[in-house]
Amino acid sequence: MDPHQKLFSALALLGSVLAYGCEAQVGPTGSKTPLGANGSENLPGSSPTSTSSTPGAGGMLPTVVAPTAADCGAAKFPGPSPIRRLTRREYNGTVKELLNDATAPALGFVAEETALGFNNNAVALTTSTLLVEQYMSAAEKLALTATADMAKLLPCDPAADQDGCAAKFIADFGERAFRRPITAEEQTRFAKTYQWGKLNQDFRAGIEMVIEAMLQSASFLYRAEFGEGTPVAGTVKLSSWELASRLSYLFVGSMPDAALRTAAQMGSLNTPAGLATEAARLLSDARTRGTVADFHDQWLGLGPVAAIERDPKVYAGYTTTVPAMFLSETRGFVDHVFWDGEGTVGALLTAPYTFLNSDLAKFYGVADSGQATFAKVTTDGVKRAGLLSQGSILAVQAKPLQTSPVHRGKFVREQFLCQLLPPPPANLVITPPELDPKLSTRERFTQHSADAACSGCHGLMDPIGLGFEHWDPVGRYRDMENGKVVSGAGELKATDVDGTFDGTVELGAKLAQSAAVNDCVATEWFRYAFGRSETPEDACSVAQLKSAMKADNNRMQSLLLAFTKTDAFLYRKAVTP
Amino acid sequence: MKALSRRTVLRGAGGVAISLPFLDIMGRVERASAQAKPGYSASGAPLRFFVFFSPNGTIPSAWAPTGGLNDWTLSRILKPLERHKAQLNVIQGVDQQGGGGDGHQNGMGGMLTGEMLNAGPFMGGDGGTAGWANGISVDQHIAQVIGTQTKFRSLELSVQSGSNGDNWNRMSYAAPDQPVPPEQSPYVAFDRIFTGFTPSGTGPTAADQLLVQRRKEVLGAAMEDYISLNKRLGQADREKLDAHLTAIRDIESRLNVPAATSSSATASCAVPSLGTPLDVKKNENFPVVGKLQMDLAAMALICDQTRVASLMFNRSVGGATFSWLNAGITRGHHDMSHDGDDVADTVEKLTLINIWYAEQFAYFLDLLAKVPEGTGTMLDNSLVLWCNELAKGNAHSRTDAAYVLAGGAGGNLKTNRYMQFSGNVPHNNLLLSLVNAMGIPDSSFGKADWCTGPLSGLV
Repeated sequence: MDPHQKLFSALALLGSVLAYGCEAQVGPTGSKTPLGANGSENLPGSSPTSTSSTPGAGGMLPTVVAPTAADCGAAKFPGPSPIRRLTRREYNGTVKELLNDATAPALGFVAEETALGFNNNAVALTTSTLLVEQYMSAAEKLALTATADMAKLLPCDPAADQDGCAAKFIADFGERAFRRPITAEEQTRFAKTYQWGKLNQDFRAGIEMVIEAMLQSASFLYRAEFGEGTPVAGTVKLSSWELASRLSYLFVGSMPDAALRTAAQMGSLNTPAGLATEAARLLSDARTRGTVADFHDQWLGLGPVAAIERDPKVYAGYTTTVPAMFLSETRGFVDHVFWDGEGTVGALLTAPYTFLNSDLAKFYGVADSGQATFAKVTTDGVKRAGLLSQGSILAVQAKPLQTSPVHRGKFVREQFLCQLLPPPPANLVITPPELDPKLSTRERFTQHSADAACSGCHGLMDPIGLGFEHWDPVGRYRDMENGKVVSGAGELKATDVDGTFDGTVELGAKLAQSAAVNDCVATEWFRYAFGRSETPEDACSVAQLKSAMKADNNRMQSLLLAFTKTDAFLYRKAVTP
Repeated sequence: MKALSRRTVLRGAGGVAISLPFLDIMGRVERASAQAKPGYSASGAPLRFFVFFSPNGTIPSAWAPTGGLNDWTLSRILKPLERHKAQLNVIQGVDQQGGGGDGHQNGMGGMLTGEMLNAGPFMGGDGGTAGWANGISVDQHIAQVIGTQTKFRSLELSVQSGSNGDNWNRMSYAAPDQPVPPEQSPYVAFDRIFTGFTPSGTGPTAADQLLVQRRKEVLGAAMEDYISLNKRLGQADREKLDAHLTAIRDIESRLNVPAATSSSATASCAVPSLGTPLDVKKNENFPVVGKLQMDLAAMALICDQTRVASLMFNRSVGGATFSWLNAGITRGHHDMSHDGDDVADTVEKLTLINIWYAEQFAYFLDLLAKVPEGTGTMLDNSLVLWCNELAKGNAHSRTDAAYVLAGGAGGNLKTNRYMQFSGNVPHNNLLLSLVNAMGIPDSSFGKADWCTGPLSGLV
């Protein structure tokens, strides 16, 4: 197969969309991303049933038919289920649960490849000898630490029967490491490894080597799924152990805990009620907050915030501690909105509060609580409300000495409206408006947008981004720039909430009213939760997610529970080796 | 002393096709590349290949030398290389191929592979997407042939290449869609290269040998799991696990490789000292991290831990702020590289940035040039490529890209030349010539219709 098709096939539609110009691409009836902002377009009434060839995780699949709303429910449409490798975060969470080792060894691993903004896209992840060496070193360190206290590690006393106890350890530890009971073949395989260590060194070395070998096995590092039962129309239900893993990694980003393993053993995850019970329990697990934070970090592009550098001679009061405070603010805000506050996408965009400590309040020039720790503070709701007035996003989507209406506008269009924009034409000399102390940013960019070669796409970004002009490159509010009065006038085009606005508070309020924005958040969550892009086959699952959120007043928590009821979660295509 | 011919030596060794130690006794012999084994000079010295990358294009008018092939003068940007001029080939007029993504992505993916990017999910400059390159890179291809005798087939290092992996910060590929990530931390790289290493070459201790055997046993058991699962998985999943299995096999097959092998250069081998650890991600530490990575890479070559290595400074679209130049630079490199040619202040600053990179390149060459090997230096037996993913940053152009080669590749390359090409000369031809210069007699490299033969007159 042409590697061109082989990889990232799920994005084939995306590639074709980008062949259009900006206007066609984001026009009100045009396709955006596959099931993007207007995900319903694959449902009846808006477009005919489409077909596409999807080489998914189960091998080259026959041409598939994208379901229509009438198809949903009866037949199952799981979409592709590519094999997923543990991300660094999941590796750390897993060894914490498995070995009670909190050293987070994966922090030093090769960074995941990032696709569509997320680092867990299964098809994008690649393996290198460097990474495999890192797995080896980590496994050796973890095994060494784990075997320091054999009494704690082993399920039995080896004094009576070393080999018998080792066999029990292999079965017991193996079931946890591989997240399923191990096979007889595996029992024999690791018994051999143990024997080698015992004979050439000692008992402890044998146990250590079993741990090392398991931690470098595919069954530990990857989540291989086969499903069970007789395929119906090429689709199988996942086994209870596979469901336990899916639940656990979706919510807590780690291997199944004892309760979940028991549920898997008892088969209770095979009933909707049993699954719902575990999902509800995991939703309230403290570790799920970490997963939600990880999603928002990636969705909102907060990764580079920690590395923002600004010249304190230009921005008085800016110190190297500011980026970390930006992150604390946004993370505190998101965590509160999601778990303890309104819980909605709208609140992320409009909530009249934020999280500040004394230093950040002073830096922003707002009322200072005098407290060193970050706490919820009310904002004025006129200049400041929601994510779009927070330093993290404002500064990371700006440049060292000037704002960037382009980046700020692009951020809104891509992250909140799920609309991708094509790159500028090849070999075009791009000269962004120069810094000019006599002109405001708005004046400079007005010239920029007048250029016909640029205005097509920039017309979709700049008018949104110019609405951010009250925010300087370090996220501070300003009324004057270069001696000119700043205007926050902006405009949304090619959305379901078109129209002008003044400043980011009004922009946030408009976006909060947009069905497309709510749908986009569901789409982003889908990509993160399943580690892949949505495909036309996922129309039922995606529609289910969006309606679950709508039914719950757009609360985002409902998405997490809704995932566990989708075809994409419960089923997979039968594997054809 | 009459120089021994390579054939005599081979016969003496019984014609066994294993790597021969570099026999200093032979001295320099006439160039006879047809007889030399791939990866060795005619006199038996091991050849080394190194890639030095700097991003975001250059300022061509300040980069291009003046003069003709053998009678030429270094440009302002290349001036720091004056002391190595006799070892250089400056190549002008070759067009870097690539496609499938944005300008930076195409340049980065095609630079060492001479291939297109496949479709994929990596966001380009303003929203388009592209994937990985559709072919092996020249360094990895060379490493497959000449990297079989060393602890590492190749080593990839970088300086602040970013916390995400995408096609802006991967230039090496082991195969289509198989990018090879660089190590950004000199401290981690040091552990990897030099832990358990003794330059004296006293041979492994009993404990070392036991560890090797243990690891073989452990990796063997782990590999069985990949093989067993692969019998049951679908094709796409199988390809993922196959790539993983290949990487484990590679490591496993190298566990027995002795710490130091053959070259007389290893007399200069000494485990480097990195000093007090510093934050490798901090902008102000960029120059120090770069120097540490160069020291490590050079010592890995000198100690014969590898014969192929690369160093990526920053990354494509890299935004390092060159504040340490004290030239009033407050903007990131990539941001500045977009300014028009008429912005004199920016053009001057970008020139200074490229001069700084030339200084780093010269420093790296110093490290090889001071190591005696045979009757010359290690640089004589090396081929060092300096490349950039773009020709001009503001145009995202790749025609007339800037390439500098240093070292004589064991006598396979004439040096002290300024080679100018006109017309449409694809850079795949240059990549093929690099392969040939390492003694590998290929006739094409990369995408076939972008390769019309070796670069005329280079090798």
